[in-house]
Amino acid sequence: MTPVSAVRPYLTLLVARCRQETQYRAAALFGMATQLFWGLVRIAIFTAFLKAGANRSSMSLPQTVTYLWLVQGMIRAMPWSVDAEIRNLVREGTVVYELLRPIDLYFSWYMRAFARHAIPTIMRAIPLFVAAVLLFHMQMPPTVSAGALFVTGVVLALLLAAAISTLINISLLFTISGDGIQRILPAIANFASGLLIPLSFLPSALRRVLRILPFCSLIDTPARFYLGQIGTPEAASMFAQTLIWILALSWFGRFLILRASKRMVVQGG
Amino acid sequence: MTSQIEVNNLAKSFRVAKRTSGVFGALGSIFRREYQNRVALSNVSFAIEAGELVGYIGPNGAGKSTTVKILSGILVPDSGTVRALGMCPWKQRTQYVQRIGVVFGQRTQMWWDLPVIDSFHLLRDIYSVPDAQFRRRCGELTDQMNLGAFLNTPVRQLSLGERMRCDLAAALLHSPEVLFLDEPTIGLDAVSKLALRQLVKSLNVEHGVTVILTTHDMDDIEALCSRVIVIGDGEILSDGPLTELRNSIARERWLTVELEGDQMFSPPANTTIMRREGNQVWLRYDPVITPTPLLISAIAATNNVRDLLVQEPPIEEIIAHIYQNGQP
Repeated sequence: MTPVSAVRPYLTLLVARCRQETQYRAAALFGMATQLFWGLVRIAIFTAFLKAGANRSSMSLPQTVTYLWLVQGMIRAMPWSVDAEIRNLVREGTVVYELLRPIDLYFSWYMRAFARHAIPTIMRAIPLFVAAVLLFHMQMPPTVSAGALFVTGVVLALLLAAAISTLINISLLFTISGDGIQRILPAIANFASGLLIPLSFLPSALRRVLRILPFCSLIDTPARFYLGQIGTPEAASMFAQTLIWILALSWFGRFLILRASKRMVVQGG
Repeated sequence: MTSQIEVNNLAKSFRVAKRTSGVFGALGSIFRREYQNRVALSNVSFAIEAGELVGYIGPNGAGKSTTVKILSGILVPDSGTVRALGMCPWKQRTQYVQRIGVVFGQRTQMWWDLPVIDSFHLLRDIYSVPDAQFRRRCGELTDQMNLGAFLNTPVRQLSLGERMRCDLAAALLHSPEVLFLDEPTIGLDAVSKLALRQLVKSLNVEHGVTVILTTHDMDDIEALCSRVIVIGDGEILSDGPLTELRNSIARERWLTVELEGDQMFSPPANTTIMRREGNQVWLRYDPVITPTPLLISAIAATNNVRDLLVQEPPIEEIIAHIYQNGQP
């Protein structure tokens, strides 16, 4: 089999999934409106704090505002929940068909997860950023290279989000309901990614720990690229760190899915 | 030459959590769980040659689906071996499933929101079917199964009969050598059932596809299968041609006698009356002890007969007999 024909099934699945995601245009529009509203609320809160003289971070007020808009745009890249369709597949046992296909189950689920994060993020973030830059004091990246680093950072963030999401979906093969992980994961991810509070505002000891974990690559790292806080040499090592996390989580997911398929029991006729 | 599918001493049991009912039972099971071992297959062996059409039947919970799942590579047995198409299904799963097709009557493998044809295109890429071959195959299947009218309808809007036909076509796009059908006619109306049977038959005869069919519908078996494997409690109870299965139970025949008017009827020697309704009498007899021509002439000589009908007992009776007694 040539490399091209080996990759083709996964590309097809990716494209099909992306096409399906682009159908939810109304959802994207209303989602964007919600994001815009919450963005303004959060900016009001942070502005109040910073103006009261509580700022001990390295971020100025305009930078904070920009960071908050980046968070609002990237919200759909967060691996918050299990894929409802995969959950139904597992509950109803239709997951057997996934195993009856001559493809690697991990990569086919990974493609699905990637589309599920990438398409809604792109559909919401771009119009939201345009609106925020024009109307609500969002800054442009200071340099072209900062912009380029940001785009690379977002691509890596989406790849990482897909790896985490796939891992959560795989956990369904063990727990079936996935309710537990759906409650605990957003709490951890929101805090550790910088979604709740920019990591620069946290105490430095805590910040150091959080910047080793994978979650900071979802939001905090790309946002710092955007703000031009990180130079290219430093960026390279951060990209490397993210890549290592992506590979490690994917390897772990693939290991789990192989184990699960050995002990999986699909009940009933 | 070895058989296309060889199954030796297959065994599989499942661990089922035992729960005590009530609040205390629920609380208790948090700390200590008891498990029960349920044997699904205890010692199953058979061999299937290329081009056979085999019925695999048994009561609910007998291990039919478990066997199909093991044979299609999605379940790993506790012990025993399977050699199918020269491979071990669960060890070489990805290569193996490329060459088999599976249809589960109660589930669909198509994408719920997509039009049927889009599902077919996805499957084409997943199974790496060359484009020319796909177009030819898809055309053939569309004609044979009459899918033309709803190829562009999303799967969720199809009726069950339409969906089953599409599912069967979907399982055949990559030209599998072996086809597993798990209760394919469940819930279908008479017309759809007949159409599906015809399709399966022609696949088997014209394309030489080996078919393994599990079902509860004995008409499926009578219409299609040259060979029947009966399984019960995880063991094979009987394996052979349908006629052999019939004969092994009882060489019984049924005779329906319609009398002129409501007259007395006394059964000839070695026959039993099963029931009587008005002027109709149902008799059961053994054709070896009482040859049918002799029985008929004896009845015609002593009674005023309007009509006679000789039948074999329905296959359901035979199967029910095996299920209940554990063996033929």
